[in-house]
Amino acid sequence: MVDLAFLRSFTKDDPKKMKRYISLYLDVAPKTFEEMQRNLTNGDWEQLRINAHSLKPQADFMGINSLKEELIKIEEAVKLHNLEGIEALFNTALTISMKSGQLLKEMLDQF
Amino acid sequence: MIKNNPTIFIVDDEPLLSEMLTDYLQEQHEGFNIKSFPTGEACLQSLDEHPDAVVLDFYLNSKEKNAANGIDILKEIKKRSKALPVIMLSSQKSYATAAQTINYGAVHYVIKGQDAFDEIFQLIKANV
Repeated sequence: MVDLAFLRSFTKDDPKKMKRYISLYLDVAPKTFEEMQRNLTNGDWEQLRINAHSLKPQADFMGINSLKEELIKIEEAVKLHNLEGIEALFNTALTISMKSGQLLKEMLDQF
Repeated sequence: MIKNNPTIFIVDDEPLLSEMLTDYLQEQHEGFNIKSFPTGEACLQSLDEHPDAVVLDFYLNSKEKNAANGIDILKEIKKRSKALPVIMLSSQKSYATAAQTINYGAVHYVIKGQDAFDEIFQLIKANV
């Protein structure tokens, strides 16, 4: 679910930098999902799309490809006004985010 | 790159990308003087420091809903300093958006992703 190959290459295996980047991600991702949950509740689709859009490259840097794919689906669903299944997409993305977040926390302890 | 110590402004509301890009650029060239801004408005307030290039995110309102977006900031930068190179940054693979930013004077439109860091460095080297 989490592949740190890019981050390892980017930081040249510098544990200090890896820790800093992962910590920044772990700080941002749950807040973004909280915001997306509010957007979903309020029917604020454009802001939901922007939040999914902004988290996408960060998931990419952390090597969480399954999350990146789900965020793309949310973006596309809003763009195409295909809102019927958007709550299910959000829930899938949230589950991946929580599981990958836990894995990243465990990895942090190993540095 | 003509200048030894160019000042580069990075405008992005995502601290992870700003930090990674700052680290990457400084690894490539120690002389970079890099300043990061979470909003376009903060960047505009510092334009009198005469940066040599600006790396500007397209979506600047994921954290602050009422913050100006990148295209508005690009227009304002170009109004104040037409020759200042602005590199637009977005994770949106859209030809129309890219064309729009180029029309307003951006030197290039870079897609956020794992290859973006080197692409931005090459663009800075070519334009500063």
